[in-house]
Amino acid sequence: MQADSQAGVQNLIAIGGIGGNDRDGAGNLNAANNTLATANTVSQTTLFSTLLAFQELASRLSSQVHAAHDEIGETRAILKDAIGRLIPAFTETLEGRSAAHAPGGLAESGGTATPTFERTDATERSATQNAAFNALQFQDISDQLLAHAQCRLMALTTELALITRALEPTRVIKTEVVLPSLLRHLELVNDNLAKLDLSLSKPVSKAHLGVGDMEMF
Amino acid sequence: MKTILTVDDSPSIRQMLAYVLSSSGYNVIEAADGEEGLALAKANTVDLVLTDHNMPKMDGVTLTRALRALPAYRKVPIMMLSTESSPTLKQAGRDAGATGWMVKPFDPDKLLEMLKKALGTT
Repeated sequence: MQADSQAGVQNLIAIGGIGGNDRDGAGNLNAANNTLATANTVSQTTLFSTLLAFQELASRLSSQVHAAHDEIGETRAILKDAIGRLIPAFTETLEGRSAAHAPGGLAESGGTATPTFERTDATERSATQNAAFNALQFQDISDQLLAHAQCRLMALTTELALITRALEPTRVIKTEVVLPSLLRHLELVNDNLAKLDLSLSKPVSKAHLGVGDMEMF
Repeated sequence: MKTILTVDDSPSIRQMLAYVLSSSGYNVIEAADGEEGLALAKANTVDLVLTDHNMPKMDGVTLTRALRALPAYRKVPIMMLSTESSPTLKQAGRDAGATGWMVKPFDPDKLLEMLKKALGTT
């Protein structure tokens, strides 16, 4: 079946010029229009196997996109778990230091006194500690970017599902019926993809952990 | 002791804010989203609200608008602390009644400086 499908794809590419590096799909539309004009030369069997090949391809792509979505989800979970352990450990270390250096704290009582946390003024925090505070915010920022990527991938799976349905072999009746239907689906998917960037506003404007701007209104 | 309400859906950011603020002498109340923030603001006397923008249930700009509608919060400083920095969103925050906008990641010293300024304690 797969060999038949591949042969069908090759035939369609040969007569219609479908495929290539055209990213926006407009070239494919033109090619498909040309194909429509010469479609009568394509046998029903070849068309059937070609559609089947594309349907299988769309299905495989969808599986890959789903897998990428899940892997990003796992990455988010790992980062969340790691930061959930890092921050308490970090603040505990700072509190321990603060107590040890405070009058009556661990440093002056031989380590037997209960730590008493002294107020830490901003000036008492070292530049290194402040830098660590900045860096430890990576999870919040990267999580938003990863969630954004997941939204995009989910939108792609929706479009791939649309393509898969359009290529359903049982819908193949006549070439002159099938190709216009495919063209409509192609246009719809292209329109949806064009709208994707508009519907997903990027939540994070920076790709580094430098301190953000602050302004009073 | 001044009370600061921090509103952020990220537990890690809430933890860091709680540490930085409490170790600098502030009383801290924490909320995980705008709705919870609004409920806690109504139930407590708060001197300053420090809120994220992108949150489930209710975002920071909506929370700001809701707080400004309450007589007790007409003059309480509301600072936005967000990863977002688009001028359009900042303008939305300003229109809703926010006092200032800070972009994450925050530097503890600079954050405290801004909060003191907003509280009028510098």
